[in-house]
Amino acid sequence: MKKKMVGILLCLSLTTALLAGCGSTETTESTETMTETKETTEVGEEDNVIKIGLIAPVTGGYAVYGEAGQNSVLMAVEEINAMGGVQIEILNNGKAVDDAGDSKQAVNAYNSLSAENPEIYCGSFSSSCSIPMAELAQAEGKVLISPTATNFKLTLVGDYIFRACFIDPYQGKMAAKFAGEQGYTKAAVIYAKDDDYSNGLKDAFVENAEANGIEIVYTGECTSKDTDYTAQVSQAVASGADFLFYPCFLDTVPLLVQQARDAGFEGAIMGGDGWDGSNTTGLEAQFENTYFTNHYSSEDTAEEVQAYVTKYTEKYGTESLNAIGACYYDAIYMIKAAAEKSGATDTEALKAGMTGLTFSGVTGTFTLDSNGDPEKNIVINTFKNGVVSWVTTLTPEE
Amino acid sequence: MSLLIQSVVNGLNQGAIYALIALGYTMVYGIIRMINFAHGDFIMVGSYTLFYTIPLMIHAGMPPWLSLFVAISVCVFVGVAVEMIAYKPVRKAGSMSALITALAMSLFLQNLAMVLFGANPKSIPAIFTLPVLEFFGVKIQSKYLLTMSIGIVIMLALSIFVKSTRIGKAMRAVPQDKQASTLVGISVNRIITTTFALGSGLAAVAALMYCSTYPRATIDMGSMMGLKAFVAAVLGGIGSIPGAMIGGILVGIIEIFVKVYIAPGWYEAITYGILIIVLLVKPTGIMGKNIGVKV
Repeated sequence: MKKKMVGILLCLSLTTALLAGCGSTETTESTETMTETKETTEVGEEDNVIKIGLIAPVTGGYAVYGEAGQNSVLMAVEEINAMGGVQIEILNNGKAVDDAGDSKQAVNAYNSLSAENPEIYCGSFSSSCSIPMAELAQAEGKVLISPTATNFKLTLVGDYIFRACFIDPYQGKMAAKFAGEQGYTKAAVIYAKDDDYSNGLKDAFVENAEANGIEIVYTGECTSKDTDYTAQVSQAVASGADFLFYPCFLDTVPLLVQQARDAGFEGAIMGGDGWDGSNTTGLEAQFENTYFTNHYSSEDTAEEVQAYVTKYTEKYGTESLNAIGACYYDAIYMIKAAAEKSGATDTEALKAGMTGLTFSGVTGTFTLDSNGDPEKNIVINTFKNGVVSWVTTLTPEE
Repeated sequence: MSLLIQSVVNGLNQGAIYALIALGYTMVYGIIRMINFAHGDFIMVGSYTLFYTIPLMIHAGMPPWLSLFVAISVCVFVGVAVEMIAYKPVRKAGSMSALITALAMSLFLQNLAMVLFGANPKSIPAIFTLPVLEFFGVKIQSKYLLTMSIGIVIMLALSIFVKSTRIGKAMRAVPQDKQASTLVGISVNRIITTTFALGSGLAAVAALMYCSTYPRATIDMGSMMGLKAFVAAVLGGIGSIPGAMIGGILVGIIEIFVKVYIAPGWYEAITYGILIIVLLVKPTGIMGKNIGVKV
């Protein structure tokens, strides 16, 4: 009996759907909404709505970045949609799809979004997650912009791939330059060999060390899942280094800094933008004399930066305020700028608009080069009493 | 030379933590012949308890290590609850069901923690502020020495407890013959519950020692650590208390020495390789006794 009822119901709903598709004037509420949504998808190109597939690590070790990214995107979308003009729709009901910082889950996230047919992908945070997604996007002929993947290989995947941040060769070079300027001469490097980002930064730092008068006295490996670095840091101490470069992510940074200081390392410890948001609670003393390169400084007095920082802090507090959020925020505005530049919101128009785009936002003013990489300023931060504090801003040479 | 001393100390420190966790595996296995894969997650529970109670302790003007007692109570409660709710009903169904239930419990605790505490890793405030000692120009953290001494004290205390107290004797009787134990007036269920309470209490101590060296709590911290400690327990001879200690320290030292002197990327492969070799040569582990299996 039950089965029969279900069957009848199914038949009924199917016929109504059919009728609605024919444009019949039969009106029930549900059929009306159906025809409406159908029309908007059919028009597609002139709808003035950019459909974005958003990917971020909302859980896992980089959750604080995913949270910042998602919050910032929501902020940007709200602002843009209130302005009128180009509208933005984030698929998956306005939420980021989670990759948990894992490349396999990133591919799953991409595929789940692909079913919703986005016009552009925005994500993900890490290079290890973004590169496989970029390969899929390039093959499918969809634009992908990664807000924060700094590994140089990303944009070499193809002409549909862009990013909103600087690249590791540049970041590592600037770190070496900074270390040289500060008078350090013997550097130890500990890097996670299972991570694209960490490898890229290490290579760049090592390549540029000599030119800045730095000798690499020790190179140690770890993995991004490790918690014990006592072996590596004791070797770094034994090698007599006065500078330790640790290009890994925030979740392990407090562990490394504590263990390095415990082993008696008194020199400077430096990392890349992955250090942003590191938790220094209880380790304020150990975090003295540590530095990291970053996309922006929340202490910057520029109008865009202060507007972003104030608004973000009001809405979500300071706990998840970090540069990754700012990059996601800029990425959304870059997508809007690309659509405005080419005057349409479909994938090809976004690609055309994005190529060679000149953009000014929270993380600076820059132009995308032929690879789709921006060339922009880099900020060097330190920790004072456990709080991130701005040291200097370096500008690209040439 | 100084690197060698430093590495020995680092290895012993890491080994003592593995040993404390391995003791928990060994206790439960020794009594009910069950591998409690959720043991690592009890440490996660302990670490999160420390994370939330240490600020309260500091706020109330008490020394932070007092939160250990809160952590012990929470862990004992969770351990006993897991035993009563999940393990007891399947005890008669055989060891395979028990093993799968333990794995399920481990996943359940991890996901529950994710819902309750969120997915962000938590940084645990400093527990001890102890001076740095200097031997032959090597800086040694006295908290490392504390970890080792706590490990040794607990192992000795457990050995004495199991050998000479009434409950300890009952604990040894239960795995030999459940029915006969019941006949001589031992409440088997109570003994098993006590074992779980002890094992989970140990997990809380292990959490304290772990967090003083690696001050971070994540929801999945228990699985990797639990696996290493399990290897340590098997290496030492699962079911044997001194075996757990020896196995733990061996695994710790091997890991550090492989990282420093052989190949840093290979430390896990070499640790597990040694486990396989030991099991091939002496299947019961280093301290394991050869007990004929009843047919």
